[in-house]
Amino acid sequence: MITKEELENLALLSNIYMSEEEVPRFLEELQKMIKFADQVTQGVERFSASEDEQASELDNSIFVSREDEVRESAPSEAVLGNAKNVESDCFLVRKRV
Amino acid sequence: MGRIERMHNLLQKGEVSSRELTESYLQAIDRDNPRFNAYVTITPDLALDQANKADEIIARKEGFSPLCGIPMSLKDNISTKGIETTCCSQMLKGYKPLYDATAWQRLQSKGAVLLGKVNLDEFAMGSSTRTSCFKESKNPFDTDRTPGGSSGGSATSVAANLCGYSLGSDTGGSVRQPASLCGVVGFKPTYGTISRRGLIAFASSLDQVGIVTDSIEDCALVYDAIAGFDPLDPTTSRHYVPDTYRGLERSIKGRKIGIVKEIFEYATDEVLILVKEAVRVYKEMGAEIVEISIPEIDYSLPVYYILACAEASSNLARYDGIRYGYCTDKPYDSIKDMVRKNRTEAMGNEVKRRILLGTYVLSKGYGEEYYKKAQTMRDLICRAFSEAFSKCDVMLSSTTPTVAPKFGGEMSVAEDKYPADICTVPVNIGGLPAVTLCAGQSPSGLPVGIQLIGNRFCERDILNFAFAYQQQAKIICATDWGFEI
Repeated sequence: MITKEELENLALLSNIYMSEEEVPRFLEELQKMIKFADQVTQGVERFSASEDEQASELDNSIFVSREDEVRESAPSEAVLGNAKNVESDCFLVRKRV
Repeated sequence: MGRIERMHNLLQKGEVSSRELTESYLQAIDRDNPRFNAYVTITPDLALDQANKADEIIARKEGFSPLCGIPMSLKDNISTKGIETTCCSQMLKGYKPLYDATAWQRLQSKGAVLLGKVNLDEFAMGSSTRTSCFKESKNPFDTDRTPGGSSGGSATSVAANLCGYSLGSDTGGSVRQPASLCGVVGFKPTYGTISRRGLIAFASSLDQVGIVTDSIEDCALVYDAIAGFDPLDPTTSRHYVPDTYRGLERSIKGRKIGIVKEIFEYATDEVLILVKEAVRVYKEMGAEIVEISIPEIDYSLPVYYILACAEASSNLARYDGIRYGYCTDKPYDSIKDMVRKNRTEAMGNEVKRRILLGTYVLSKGYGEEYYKKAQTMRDLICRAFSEAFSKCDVMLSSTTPTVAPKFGGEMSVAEDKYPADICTVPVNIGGLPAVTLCAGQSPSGLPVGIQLIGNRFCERDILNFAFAYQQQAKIICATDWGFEI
C-alpha cells in the first residue's frame, strides 16, 4: 500500500506538484496500478526462475551502448531557438533571490 | 494493389503529377480533417515543394523509387527539422527539432512528400488519442468511436484516405491497435530494425517506429525503404534486411500457424468469428494450424506497466521547460520550483500517473521488488516465445479483443478495466515483429483485425503470410472519405 507521504515524495522526485484535491485520486489510481504490477512476483515464482535467472540475463542486442565520442554540436543559435527566455547566447532563468 | 502502388503507376505513366496528387490530398485534408482530427500540423508549402522536386526526378526517370512523389503523414512524435513536433503535449508546443528522424530522412531520400504531422496520445501514452492536447481523433467508420492509439492520427489519416501512408510508433501496440480498429494495415517490425533516432522516447527498450498503410504490398515497400542499421542509433541491428516486397509471392502451403491459447481467449464473439474465419482461409490455402500455449505471456501486461513506466519516468525527466517547451508565466521561488510548475501545468494526468508509477518502481527498496523482477519475467517471456517458434512459423491472434469502443469506453488498469492491449503488448516485450490486417467487418460495420506474429527478424515471413491472406480473402473495408485515387 502506498501512503500519502510516499506519494508526495514521489511527486517531489518527479518534479510535479499535486493539489490537495488531486492526492486522493492519484493515490487510488496508483494503488490499482501497483496491485496490478504485483502480479510480476507471482509470475517469476510460477515459472521457477533460478537465482541466476533472477539476476536477469538482459538481451544484449537491446541494451547496447555506443562509443562515447566528441562530436560537433549544433550551432548555439539553433539550440537557443526553442527556448522561451534567452539572453546573450544563454538560456535565461529569471532571478528570484 | 495498394494505394502507393496505384499512385506510383499513375506517376510512372505520366497520368498524374506528384504536385496534382499533393494538391488533391491537401484539398481532402482541408475538407475532411475537421471531422476526423487526424492532422495536428499541416505542411502545405513543404509538401508542394517536395512534390515539385519529386516531379523533376520522375521526369528525369533517374532514382524514381516507388515512394517518390507519394504524399504521406508522420506521427507527431517523429522529429522533423524545423517543423513543430509536439508529441501532442503542451510541454512541447512550439518545439521545432534541430534534426530529422532517421526514418523520415530515409523517406525524404526516396522522394517522400510530407502532408503534415498527425495526432497521438500525449507522449504516446494511451490507446485512444484522448490524452492528446489537440483533442481526440475520430474513427472514420464511426466518429463516435475511438480510432485507437496512440498512433490514432496515423490510422485515421490512412483509413480516411487523407494520405498515401503514415509512420507511427509502437511501444505496446500503438500502431497495430489503431490500425486494427480503423481497418488498415499496421506493422511493428523487430526491435532494432528501424532506427529510433529522432523518435521522441517514451520507453526506449520497447519503442519502435511502425508503418500504417492500406495494403501489405505498400507496407513492405515502406519497410524496405526505412529499415536497416543506423550508426546514430546503437540499438539498431546489423542484421541483414531482406527485400520483403519481393518476398511476398511465396507459397504458405505446408507452413505452420500457431494459435496462442492465452491471446486467443480474450477476444469477444464478434471478433472471434472473423478470426476463426481467417484460420479457415489459411487452412484452405494449405497452411497447417497448430495450437500452442505460452502461459508466460499472461504476465506481459504487468511487465509492460513496470518497464514502460520506469523508462518513461527517466526519459521524460528531461522536460524542464528551460531549453525548450512550455515555460510558466507564474512567479517562482527557485529553478526547482519553476521546473515543477512547468511540468505540472503542461503535462496531462495520464503522463503524470505513469511518471509517478515509474518513479515508484525505480525508487529505493522497490527496484528489486518490481523493476528487477519485471526484467526477469521479460526474459522468461522472450525464451518462451523462442521455444514456441520451434513449433510454428508464425502465430495468429486477434489484434484487439473488441471492435473500436465508443469514446469513454476504453479500458485502462487505473480505471480497473482490463486493457485492450493484451494481444499486442507481448510482442513488444519479446521485441518481435507483428502485423495487423483487416479480416472483415463486425455486424455493426466496424473493422476487425487479425495479427500475425513472427520470430525475431522474420518480417519477410509474416508479411508473406499476411499478403497470402489479403489475396485470398480479398477483404476491403469500404472507405469513401478523403481523396480516392
